[in-house]
Amino acid sequence: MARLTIASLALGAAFLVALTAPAQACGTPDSICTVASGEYRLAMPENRGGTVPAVVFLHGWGGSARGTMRNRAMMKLLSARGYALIAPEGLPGHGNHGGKQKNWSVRDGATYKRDDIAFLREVLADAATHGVDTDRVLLAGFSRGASMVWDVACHAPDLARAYAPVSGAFWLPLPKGCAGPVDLFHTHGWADRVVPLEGRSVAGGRLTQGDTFASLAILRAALGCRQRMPDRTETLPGTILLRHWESCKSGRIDLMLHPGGHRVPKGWLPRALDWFEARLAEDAT
Amino acid sequence: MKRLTALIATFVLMIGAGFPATAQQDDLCGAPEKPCKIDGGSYNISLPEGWAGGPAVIHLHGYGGSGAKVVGNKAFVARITVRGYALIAPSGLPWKEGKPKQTEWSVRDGYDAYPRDDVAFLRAVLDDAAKRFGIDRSRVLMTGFSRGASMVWDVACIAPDMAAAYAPVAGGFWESLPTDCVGPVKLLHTHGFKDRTVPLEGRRLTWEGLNFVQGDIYQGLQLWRQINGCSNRAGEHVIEEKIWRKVWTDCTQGAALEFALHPGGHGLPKGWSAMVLDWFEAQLASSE
Repeated sequence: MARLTIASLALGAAFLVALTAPAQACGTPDSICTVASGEYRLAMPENRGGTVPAVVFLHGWGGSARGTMRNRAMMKLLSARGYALIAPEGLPGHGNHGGKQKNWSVRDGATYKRDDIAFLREVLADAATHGVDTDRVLLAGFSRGASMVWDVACHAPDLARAYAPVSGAFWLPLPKGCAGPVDLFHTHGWADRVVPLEGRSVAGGRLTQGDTFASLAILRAALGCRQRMPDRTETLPGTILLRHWESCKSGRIDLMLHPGGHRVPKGWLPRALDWFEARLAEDAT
Repeated sequence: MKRLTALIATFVLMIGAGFPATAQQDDLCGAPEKPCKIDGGSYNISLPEGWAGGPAVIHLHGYGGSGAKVVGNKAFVARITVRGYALIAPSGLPWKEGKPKQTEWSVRDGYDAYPRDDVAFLRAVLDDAAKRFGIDRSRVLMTGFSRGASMVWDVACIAPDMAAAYAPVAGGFWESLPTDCVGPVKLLHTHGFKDRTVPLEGRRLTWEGLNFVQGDIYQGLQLWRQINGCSNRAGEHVIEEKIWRKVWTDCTQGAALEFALHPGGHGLPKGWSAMVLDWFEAQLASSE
């Protein structure tokens, strides 16, 4: 009897785990969400009624969704402001660079096993079933992830509501043009040596990062900006320099330069969220 | 005794630099009201105290400026002469008859009726100043502001041997941008983040019914990197409170390229003269 009880308890426990596993499988930072062509992680905000806006954050080359979720400060701030954090997983050994580093199918002349624009669409469709409002998505990313953000903004501008790349832009060959207007907030360090503002050749010269200013010029053309120069510039304490193109036919571009290197600068996330919410507020009016 | 010292000094000058010691400086041309005249135009000049020949800064004024106004700016002159440099300030010509105040340089901007070839004129100015004042032609820094800076970019591209180095401020190539230049140069470009007259991205403008386009400075710097054989990535970044600099350190032997960004608008940032003269002297020292 005692043995039977233990056995049934064990069975029952196993059954419970099996029952709860699907609920845990997606929606918490440590669990993995699966879609047809890959994986992602999702952290929902603590207090919510109804659907929530989200920041999709694309990790850099060799990063991971787990790494993104390890940034508890970022998650905490997003949760406090009512946002979900979506961390898509790059594909290892993606592209013809060799190696196992997780990467994105940025248009840089190499061939890739997965179309990451299609993958990100799958991620958003799936996140919608978990309570994310896909009309309120900010697609952000760092370094190689930022280059993917630029590619999405240029070639699939409807994928997210707005774009916030950090320390990465187009690779060569630069696109001749973009599919449509977007709202994009680009951030870059003046002293970045990994992805310099002017770009750099890597992989023995086979792949080349584009010039960020040339990337911005291509985007200005897609937005029909009235003039090349920004409508407004700002210098903020802490030596932050901002350029705002806000009189374009459609969409806008904001550029933030900081004096540092290859990193997400302090204060970037709250500033990006303020900027994103101003865009959402414009939609509401 | 005093006279003897003066005589000896004069003698040294004659040997040392070919300076025309027979003339008193006051008798020479160069002051605002007394420009030095050469074929095709004129220039002004300010010499440091105790001048015995030596290096020079040749500074090209902006649109509507003049050599007289440049040497009349005492604070500007002092920051250069105190370091032992003569300041040569050529005057642009009115771009069109009947517009005497619209002094200009023959920048390559698509307009083909400038009254003078300023590359040739500036060379003539330096030749004349070398003869008259003992300017050391191997130690000339060419600087310029706004349209004057665009002329500096053009000279650096078309006639890189004219000066030892170039330090333009707030101006670059005009469109159509050149696709090639004669050869490597030493160039330090300075620009204001808030410049709306010559914005970093360039600007389209219509002047007396004619269309012009200021080029994108970043695109211009791309060309300089190519000409100078530098990779795109700067080797050094110098962050000071008000000026952020990029230094390309892997350029061809004898070439140099730097970009100094300051948070101000269309003007010379504070500390500019000292920055460019320090840079120039480091360039001269490295090529010795």
